[in-house]
Amino acid sequence: MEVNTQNFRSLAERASANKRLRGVLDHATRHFQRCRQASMDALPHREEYFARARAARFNALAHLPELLEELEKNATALGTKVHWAHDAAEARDIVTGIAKAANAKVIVKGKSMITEEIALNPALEAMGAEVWETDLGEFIVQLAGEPPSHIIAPALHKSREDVVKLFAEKLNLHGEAIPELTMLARHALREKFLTADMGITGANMAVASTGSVVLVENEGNIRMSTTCPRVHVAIMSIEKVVADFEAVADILRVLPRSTTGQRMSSYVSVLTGPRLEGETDGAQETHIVILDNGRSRVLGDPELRQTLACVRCGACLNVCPVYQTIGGHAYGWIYPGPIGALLSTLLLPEDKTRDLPYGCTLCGACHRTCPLSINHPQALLTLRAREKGGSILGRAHSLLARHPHAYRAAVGTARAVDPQLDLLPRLPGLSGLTGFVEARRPPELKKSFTARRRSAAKKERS
Amino acid sequence: MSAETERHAREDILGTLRRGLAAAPLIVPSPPARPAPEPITPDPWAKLAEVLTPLSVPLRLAGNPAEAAALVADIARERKATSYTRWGESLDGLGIDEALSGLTRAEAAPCRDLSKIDLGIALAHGVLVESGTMVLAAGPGRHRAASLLPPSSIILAPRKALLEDVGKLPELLAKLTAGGRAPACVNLISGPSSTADIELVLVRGVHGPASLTIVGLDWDF
Repeated sequence: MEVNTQNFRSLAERASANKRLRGVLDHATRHFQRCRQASMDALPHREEYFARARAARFNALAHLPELLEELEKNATALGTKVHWAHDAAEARDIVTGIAKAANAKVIVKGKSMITEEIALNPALEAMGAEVWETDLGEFIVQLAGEPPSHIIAPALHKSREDVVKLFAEKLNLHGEAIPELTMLARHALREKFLTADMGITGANMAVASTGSVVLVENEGNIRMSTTCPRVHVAIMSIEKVVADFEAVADILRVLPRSTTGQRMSSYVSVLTGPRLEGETDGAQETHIVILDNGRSRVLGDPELRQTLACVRCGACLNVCPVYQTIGGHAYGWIYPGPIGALLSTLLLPEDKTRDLPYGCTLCGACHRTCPLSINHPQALLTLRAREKGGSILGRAHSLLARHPHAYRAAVGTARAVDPQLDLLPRLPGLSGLTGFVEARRPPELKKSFTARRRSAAKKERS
Repeated sequence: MSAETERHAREDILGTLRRGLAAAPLIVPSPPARPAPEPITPDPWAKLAEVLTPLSVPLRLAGNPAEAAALVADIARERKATSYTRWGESLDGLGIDEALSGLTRAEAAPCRDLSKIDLGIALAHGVLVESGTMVLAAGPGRHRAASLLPPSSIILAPRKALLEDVGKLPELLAKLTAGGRAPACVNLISGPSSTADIELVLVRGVHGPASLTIVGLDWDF
């Protein structure tokens, strides 16, 4: 999808004025929070389980190169072809190459953020393939020509009436009630599953010790996409690998609970290579595409690499006051909410994401909710400091802020010539000041409390 | 993309990761031991039923093969099934085919050939009681479609397959791999297919079975 993160401010302003959207978000985020809380309350030893899941993810990051090599070795030994891609363009080339070689005319996809990240669908469609999103929410947003608006509920922003209209216009299918609409989608997509030549999914985890891919879902569309077509391609970003099934068990203990409040999602598939001789279903040809897209650089950054531990449960979105107000589309790319602001800033070019780290009130709700204790606000502050540290104004401001007397003197001087600080930015050559001043509230002209106390005491004495 | 470009990508990615970790090693403190699972004795079936009820999954218990076959036939009748597909050898001794003699049986086959079948019957290799999860290892004669394509699904759960929780999964998977290659597909099934993608309204049976019934085999099967 088109990257629109550079317009975060204007998109956020527009979204926050949309009352209907705010109503939908309020209902949805409260629903997810309630489900999650009830499930967590019922989990004994919660902190121990969180700590184990955190260790499983961070241990994987600490041994990432070795685990990726082990995954490659074990997957290859069982007949899976493993591919490596620097970036989105290379990953698209790999997948379209597999599709061409398999003569894939109909392709079914399981819900996957990574395929959105690399904009895979247009590339497959350009080679003449029919590509179907099969997760109901993804199917709806695909028909609408829109990006997903929530990591786990892509069509969160769509009402029943929207779906009624969409199905009638795009599929000539007519239904009213939600179960009826769901069954219409089932019948439409069932035919696609049965005729598909290739299934494409992401990967919730890849297991180094066995070369397996682990996929978590509720609908069964991922099972269909990996059971019926003769080719299966799993696309994973480098950080999805974990050491073994002990790590998988520790992560599965908290992932569904944190996502939807379920003890376990309806379906978890552990896929290890192509179908065995004598099996009648399952892919005969399996591929794993390992994508970097900037993440290997992030691993070397001690302040930001915690972002790579994320398991995409989406809990941070639901508690974020910014997400609750503006929803997912305002973030301008596929990853919304606190984790989205972080990921987008780390993965996209700098000039496109300048405002994203500021889409955070620093309230810390995301950090407290994250089952892996990712400290989103701290990481966003780091990004802010780095971004501002790069400009002359930012460096000057940073220097003054560390020296209170100099700061007061500078602001006092500026106020003496321009009391409202609204004229200086308009002077030729100082246009950069406008945004800088707009985003800050300089100290008021009155003296500090200590100074006022001292001067009152002096007055009393005299 | 050429093999050369992919090799190049591989070397670059692994090199960057290694340099990053060498410059700033990531030290991870040891996690606490995994807490002991909640015991499922003395009545694991009651515990399982308690977990399955909110998932709209009935649990029915059979004390012997004849009862199991009769329960399967009851469920087929309730679901108005006229055809079924079942796992092969592993279920041969239960007399299911005799109990379902009025129905058409479809053998394991590619998805397209099973798309109109009403009922699928499979066997759990493990049951994670805490989450109500059936663990099914696919293989020859144990087709994945049996628990996926038909609108109604029955999973037979032997008493000896009952395990406490997901912490037992690694051990179970190791057992399923023992002496050979890992199964190409292991499915963990914890309820019927479901979605809440339109206005968060829960609907069962969006792609997989709308109805799932567990038949507990309460003898040494």
